[in-house]
Amino acid sequence: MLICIPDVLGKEQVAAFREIMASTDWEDGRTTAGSQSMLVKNNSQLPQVSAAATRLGEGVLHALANSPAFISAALPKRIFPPLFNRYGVGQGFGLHVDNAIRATPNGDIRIRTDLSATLFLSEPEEYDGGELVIEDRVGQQEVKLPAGDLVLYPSTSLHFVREVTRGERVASFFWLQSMIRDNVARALLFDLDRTIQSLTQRLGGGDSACVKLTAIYHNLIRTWAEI
Amino acid sequence: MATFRGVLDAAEWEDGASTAGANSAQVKSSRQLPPDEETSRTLGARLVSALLANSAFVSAAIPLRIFPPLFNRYDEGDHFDPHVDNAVRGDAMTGARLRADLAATLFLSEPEEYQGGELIVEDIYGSRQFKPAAGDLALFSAGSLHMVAPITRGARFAAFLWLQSMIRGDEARGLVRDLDLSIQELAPRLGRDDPDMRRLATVYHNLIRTWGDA
Repeated sequence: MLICIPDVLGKEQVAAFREIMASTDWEDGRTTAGSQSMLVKNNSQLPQVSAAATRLGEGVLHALANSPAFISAALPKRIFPPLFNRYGVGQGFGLHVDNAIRATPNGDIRIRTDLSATLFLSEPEEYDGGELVIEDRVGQQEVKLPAGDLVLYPSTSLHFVREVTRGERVASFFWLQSMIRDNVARALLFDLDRTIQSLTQRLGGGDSACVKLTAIYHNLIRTWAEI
Repeated sequence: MATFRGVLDAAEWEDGASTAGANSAQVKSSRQLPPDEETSRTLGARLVSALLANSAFVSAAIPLRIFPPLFNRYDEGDHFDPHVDNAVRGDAMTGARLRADLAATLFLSEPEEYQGGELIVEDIYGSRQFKPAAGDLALFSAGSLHMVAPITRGARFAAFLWLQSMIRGDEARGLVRDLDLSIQELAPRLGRDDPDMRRLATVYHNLIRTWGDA
C-alpha cells in the first residue's frame, strides 16, 4: 500500500532545507547503491557522512516524530538516517528494488528495510519528469507530490524515478524498519487507527465502542509488534 | 430441550471412560451415550445445526470443524476431576480428525435439578464456574484445565463437543470476536453503509484472512 502524507515539512522549513542544500557539495549517488541499482542510478547525493546531511536528516526525523499520520502508517521501530538526492536534466534512477538490509557506514545502525519513503523538496512546477513510479502487484502508480509531502511505500516493490527533462528535483529519502513486519498487518492497523480517529471525532473518545476498538488496536499491536 | 431430554431419559448409557484419554480415564466418573449409536449421532447432528445457526456461537468460535457431540449424565457421586482435553480428536466412525481448539458444554438440566456439578474452568486469571440454565452453552479453551464438581443430589445431563476453529490462537480469536461485537454495537447507531462501518468490516475480514484456516 502506498500512503501519501501531506505537510510533513512546512513551506518555510522546505525553503530552509533548500538553502542549505544549495550551498553544499554533492557526490555521485552511486556511493550508496547496491550492485544492481548502481547500473541504473544516475543522480547526486549529499555525502552520507557530512555536516549538512546530518543536520538536515535530524530535521526530517524531528518532523516525522511530530507527524501522527506518519507514525500511524509506518509504526516505525528504527529509521535510517535520511539521505538527500538531486536529479538534474537527463538524470533518473532506473527500475530497482531497495536492498533488504541497510547499514550506516560505521555500522552503528542496521535495519531491515520494510518501508521506503521519499520526502519531496521541490515543487512539481519546478521540473518536468522526475515522477517516482512504484510497481506493486496491482500495477504502477506515479507519485509527484508538493514540496513538504511524503510518500511511504513497501520496500518490496520495484520502483524507478523517471528521467528529469527540465529543472531540478531535490528530495530526501530513507528507509525504516517497522514494528509491524508484515505489510498486510500494518495496513490493517492503519485502517483501524483511522477508523478509531474518525469515530472519536463523531462519537467522542469516551464512547464505549471507541474504547473497545482502541483496546483491540493495542492488542493487535501487542500481538504483532517487534520492539 | 424437551425432545432432547425425552430421548436421553429413555437411552442406554455406558461408562464415560470409553472416550477419555489415559490420564482423564482415571479422573472421570460419569456415563455417556455410546458415541457411535444412532441416538447420539441424531441428537448430535441436530445440536450442530442449532449451533451453526446461532450467530453468538459462530462469532465466538469461528468454527472450522465440529466433532460429533457426545452426551453425558452425572448422577449422585459422579464427577470429573481436573484435566486437559486431548489436543487431537479422531472420530472412530469416519476417521475424521480435528485439533481441539475449543471445548463446549451444552447444559441439558436446569440448575435446580441437581446439586454440585459445576463446570469449573481454570485460565491464567483464575477459575470460573458455570452452572447455567438448560439450553445454555459454555465455550472454553480446550487447553485449559477444567473439571466437573461432584454431584451431591439429582442428575446432570449435558452435551459436550470439541471444535477446531478457523483461528487457532485463543488471543487472536478473542480479538476477532471483540471486533465483531464492536461492529454489532455500532451498526444500529451508524448504519451499515457508513464509511467507518465499511472500514471496520474490511479490517474484520482482513484479520480473518490473516489468521484463518479454511
